[in-house]
Amino acid sequence: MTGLDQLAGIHFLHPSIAFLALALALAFLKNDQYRIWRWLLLAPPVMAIASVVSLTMGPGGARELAAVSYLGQTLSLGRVDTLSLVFAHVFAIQSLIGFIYALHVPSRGQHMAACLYVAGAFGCVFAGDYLSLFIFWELMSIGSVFLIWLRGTPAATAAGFRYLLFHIFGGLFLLAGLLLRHAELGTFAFTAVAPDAARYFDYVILIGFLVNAAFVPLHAWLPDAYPEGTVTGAVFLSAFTTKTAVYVLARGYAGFEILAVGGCVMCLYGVFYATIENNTRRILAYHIVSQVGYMVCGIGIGTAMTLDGACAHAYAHILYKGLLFMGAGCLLYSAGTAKLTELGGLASRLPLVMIGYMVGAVSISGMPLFNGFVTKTMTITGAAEAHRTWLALGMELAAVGTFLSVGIKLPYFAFWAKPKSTAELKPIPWNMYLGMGIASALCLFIGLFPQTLYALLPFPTEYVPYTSWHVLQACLLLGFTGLGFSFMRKIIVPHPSRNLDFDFLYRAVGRGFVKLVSVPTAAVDNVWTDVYAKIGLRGLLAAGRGTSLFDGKGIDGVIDGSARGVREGGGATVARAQTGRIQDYLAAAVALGLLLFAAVWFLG
Amino acid sequence: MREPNSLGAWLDAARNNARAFKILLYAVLAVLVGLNVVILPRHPHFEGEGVPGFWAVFALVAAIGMVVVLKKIVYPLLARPEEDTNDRS
Repeated sequence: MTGLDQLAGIHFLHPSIAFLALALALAFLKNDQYRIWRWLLLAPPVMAIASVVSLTMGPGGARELAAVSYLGQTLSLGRVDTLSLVFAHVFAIQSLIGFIYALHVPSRGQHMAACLYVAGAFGCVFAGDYLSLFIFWELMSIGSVFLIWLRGTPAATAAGFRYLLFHIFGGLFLLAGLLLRHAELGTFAFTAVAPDAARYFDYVILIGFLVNAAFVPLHAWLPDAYPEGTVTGAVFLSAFTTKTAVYVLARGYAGFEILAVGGCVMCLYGVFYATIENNTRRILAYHIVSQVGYMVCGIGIGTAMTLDGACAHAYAHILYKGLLFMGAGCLLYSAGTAKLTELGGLASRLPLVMIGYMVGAVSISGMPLFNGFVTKTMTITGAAEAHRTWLALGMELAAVGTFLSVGIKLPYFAFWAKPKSTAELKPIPWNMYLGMGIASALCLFIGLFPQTLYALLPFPTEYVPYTSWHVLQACLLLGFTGLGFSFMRKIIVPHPSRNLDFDFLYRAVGRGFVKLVSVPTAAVDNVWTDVYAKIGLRGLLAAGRGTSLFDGKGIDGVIDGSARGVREGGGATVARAQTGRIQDYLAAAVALGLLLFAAVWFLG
Repeated sequence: MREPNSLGAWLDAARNNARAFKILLYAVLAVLVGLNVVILPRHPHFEGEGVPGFWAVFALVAAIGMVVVLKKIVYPLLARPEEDTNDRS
């Protein structure tokens, strides 16, 4: 049993293990007993926090903690260093917040999906080689798509398919790149690529990473799919996919100019779309594109301060974006809609939701005292100090747009704007408030004590956020954006619409492909029908008479016996398993894949 | 869970005093610009940053410009009828 020996060789509890174990256990539990088993949901996040904190306190420097042999390759599942730890740290915390927020959900399917998704994210962050990375990368795609599908609406099903197709597309680039790289270099090791030494396969891998980072124009899956996710699933979605992509970019592609410029474009693109969007969760989704833009830009500039800024901003972003999605989720849960045109006048009806949302809103906007301020300014100052003035100005412009759309427009039209709402509101469970409360407290805590976050950062940099100039500059920027909004509040009024983005382009490509296949097929089919009617039918009738004779005389006796065998021996079960829904087959394939993986590992 | 009524009542009162909040905003903005005359960056990253009121004008022009351009010019080009997104769940 070499597998067990390998297990004993793991010197730390890989956070993915507990999440995978819970996903497996949930398969044997019943939805109607969720009041008992739901407390189990908190166990993997708590274990993950304990594991990551103990690693943080451990010896410094890079460590390889869990290398295992698998199919003739060595999988490095536990590369632990400061870069992986800062991401693992916030992933662990956010997984706890996410599961607390989802504690009232009686659907084990949703929790299993979240477990697989989070397990995939931890696996990617600790992966030391491309093969392990690819396995967990795909696990994330599959876990996350179920958080969209399980919303159960036709729109969610359609958006989920588009999401899955796009991530398969990205995953194939990653796979192709890592195989080409192995063919050329003979190694799967996941190491940094120097920008001037990058080869074609490095760019193929980069495309795979950029899909998950929602890099414009590969981003459209995000604002298309996230707003269709389940109320609690969107909180997980907002945290893990794009930030795992940020991690791998920081690990492998620091200093690439395309990231510096493209990141700045992302900052502005997301903000521009959010300004004209009506659906609260789609506004927040566009702001993921925008905020990840800051991180991608920082990675592209590639100095110690901008890389630290990118990591710190990823940390802060996970907390406040989760909080914002929790706030929008509460609105959707309670009022039944996430559209600004249908909301309004809710401030005094849902004051705690409003306050929680506003903490997230001022955090994302970079208001002093909140976490966004101590991380966003680090990236922008880093860009300016690297003499990338235009990039820094682009990010400042995006900061204005962020406060305009998420900080003022969204809460103004959701909570104020109209007279006090008299709409019937569904009571919000206590755990949703608790999730928001913890996230709010952390946003404030990090804003007040930035050193607690800076101490986790991978590169030594001297950055002091609370100087009189930084604080004044942030206040001027936010204050005068507020003034601009008050002048423009009659013009910025949202309207119900779906705005054209790149997803319309790939939907058009899909429709074109279907036409390309179906039109010639239909033409051939028409001709074939004619030929068949004139020639084939006569021959078939003659053959039919012959086979009928043979069937009656010889076959019946043999078949009767075996037909009975099939009917009694599980044929009905097999038929029931054929639901015809591709989601079910995908879930079965994942389960089978994980079992095979485990079997080969233990027995191989 | 029930939301606290007292907090809701306070927010209703605040809403009825919107004018007072607006005056407060103007006062705060005036103070900020005043401070900007005294407090300037020690090492401006570009020339404009050293001019008092630069970021105030930047933010105001950017906010107004963004709303006008995006809502009046870009939005009519991009807007399509909303699909049935089935929000009512």
